Amino acid sequence: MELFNQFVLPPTAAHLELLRYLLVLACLINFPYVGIVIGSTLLSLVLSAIDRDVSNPVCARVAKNLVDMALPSRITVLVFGILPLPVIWVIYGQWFINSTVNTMHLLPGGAFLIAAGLVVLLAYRGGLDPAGRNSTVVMGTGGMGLGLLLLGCYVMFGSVSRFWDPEKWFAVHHAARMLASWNLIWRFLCYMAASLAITGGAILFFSFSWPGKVSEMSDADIRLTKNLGAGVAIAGITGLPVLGFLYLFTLPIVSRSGEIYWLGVALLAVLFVLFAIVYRTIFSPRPRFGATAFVLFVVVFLMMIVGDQLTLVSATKEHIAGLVIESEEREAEIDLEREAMRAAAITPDVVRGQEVFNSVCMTCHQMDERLVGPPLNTVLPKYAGDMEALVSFIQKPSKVDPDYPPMPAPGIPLVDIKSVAAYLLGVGSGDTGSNGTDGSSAAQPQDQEGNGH
Amino acid sequence: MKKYLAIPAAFLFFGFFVLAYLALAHDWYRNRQAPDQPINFSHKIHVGKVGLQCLFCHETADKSTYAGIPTVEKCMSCHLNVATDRPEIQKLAAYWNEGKVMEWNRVHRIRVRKHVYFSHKRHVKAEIDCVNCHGEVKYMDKIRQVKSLEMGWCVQCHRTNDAPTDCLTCHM
Repeated sequence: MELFNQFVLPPTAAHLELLRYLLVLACLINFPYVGIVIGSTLLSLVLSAIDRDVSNPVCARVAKNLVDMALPSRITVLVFGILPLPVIWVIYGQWFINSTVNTMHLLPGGAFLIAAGLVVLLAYRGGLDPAGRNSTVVMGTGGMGLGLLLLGCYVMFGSVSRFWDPEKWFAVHHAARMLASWNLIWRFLCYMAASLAITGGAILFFSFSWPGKVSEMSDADIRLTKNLGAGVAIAGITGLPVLGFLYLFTLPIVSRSGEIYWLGVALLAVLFVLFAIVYRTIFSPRPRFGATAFVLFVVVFLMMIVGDQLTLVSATKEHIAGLVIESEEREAEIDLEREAMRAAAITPDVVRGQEVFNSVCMTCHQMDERLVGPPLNTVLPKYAGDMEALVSFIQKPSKVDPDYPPMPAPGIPLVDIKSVAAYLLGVGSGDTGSNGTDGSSAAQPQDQEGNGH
Repeated sequence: MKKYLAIPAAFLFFGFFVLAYLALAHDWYRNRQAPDQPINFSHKIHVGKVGLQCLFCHETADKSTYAGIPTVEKCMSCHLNVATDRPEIQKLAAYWNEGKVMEWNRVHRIRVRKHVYFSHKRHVKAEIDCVNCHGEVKYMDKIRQVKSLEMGWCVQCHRTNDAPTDCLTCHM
């Protein structure tokens, strides 16, 4: 984290807003695809295992078709499965700059496991024989790829889960502890249920609506593919409401907001529509499963990712406010330096100083009376002849006397601060009885200013 | 026949979870979300910008079990002069002029308060930073509860700080 912080400037509010949209986009490219790969590989392994036990060529063919569907080419794996991962890492790194959470080391670890899992699964696809009776080595490769993928997803989710639960940030000292949280487990299982659902949707869509696919399949293949796709989709669709409830129930208080519950209700409505669409296909001998229905599965992922962002924004509201303030302070410092360079050439204007004093400072300060701040005739003498010190104090005030509340920075240009200082030193440190705004008071600070610079 | 029952059954299933989610939403809106206050007091301005210390307003946090809420009089000690043109300060001034008490709404709740003894004084004396329990209030316009204040969380912090974890420390 510290290493990351060295290279990243505190992001502005607009920058953070942009990052949020980029994160949603990167997750939307990656999560549904990885979900389809997980679901398809799992089903492929189950069907291959059935084929090994009872020699079922239909199972063997469908197992091969599933893996070909999920991993059609290396480019697809690279674009949808691997490239979004470093983008996600960098965005979270920007978002959590300055936080002490020791999780950014875990995130690339999870991303690496996912990428490794996808590469191993490409090898599994290459070794899988559609004729069936695949060797233990091939099955083991598939199992290892799936295991790496699942572990990578869990580690990646776990690495950012503490951002959802900042109250435990101070107590997190060990990576393993970060991965042990009920809320994380339910969130992970929600995504797994959505993965099963979208896998079912993908099987139905790519098998029955993709040009030329159905004509290559026998009736037995069609029946198995249809039942498998619909069954898996319905399992995911009906599992998601239960897991979603458990996730929302265990959500840390700091992550909650009204919107997350309404989004949950909207998600249930989409899931019900999907259930009706998928259920209809079971009884159709030649099912049609349109692109709209498949897009609805992607919408489910989109809603879950947006839900994650809503909870993240709620949980890190103060952290983000701190970052924005830090970036504003940095910008202000730069402005101040620029202004200082300009102001160095400007002579303070005592008349202007009096105007600014009357409009800004007099709310809290009188010359010989205590208001919110101390009477100025008690504090100005120590600045006599040292206008720089007074200007510096007004620019960045600090608490001096415990009897008074601390003075806020006035937020006025340096030129005005210099003018006020010149005016005050003329009034407060000289003969306060006579030289309020006359020529002599103006002359004295101008002389000091001239000497000071 | 069975196939026609599945859709109504699914409707009931999803309908049940809609109600369950709405119950969680109800709990959030009713009990958990940051409550509205009589005036929009901003900790972001007073702590973050002005730099007031917590004890300046919550005067009894180091002397009593309760941290204390500032009186209208305390607020007016500054706001007789400061920002008097702001609408929220004018609301405050109206309380002052009418001699009314500001009825703030409680933000931080220990859910089973009857069984728990908690003392602000002990924690302030032990130099536990207010932020540990109340969050970064200097960044909050509207104050909200950010920690669960549940037993597991308290015990975790007590363990981290070598504070007593005996039941009678908190339960009477």
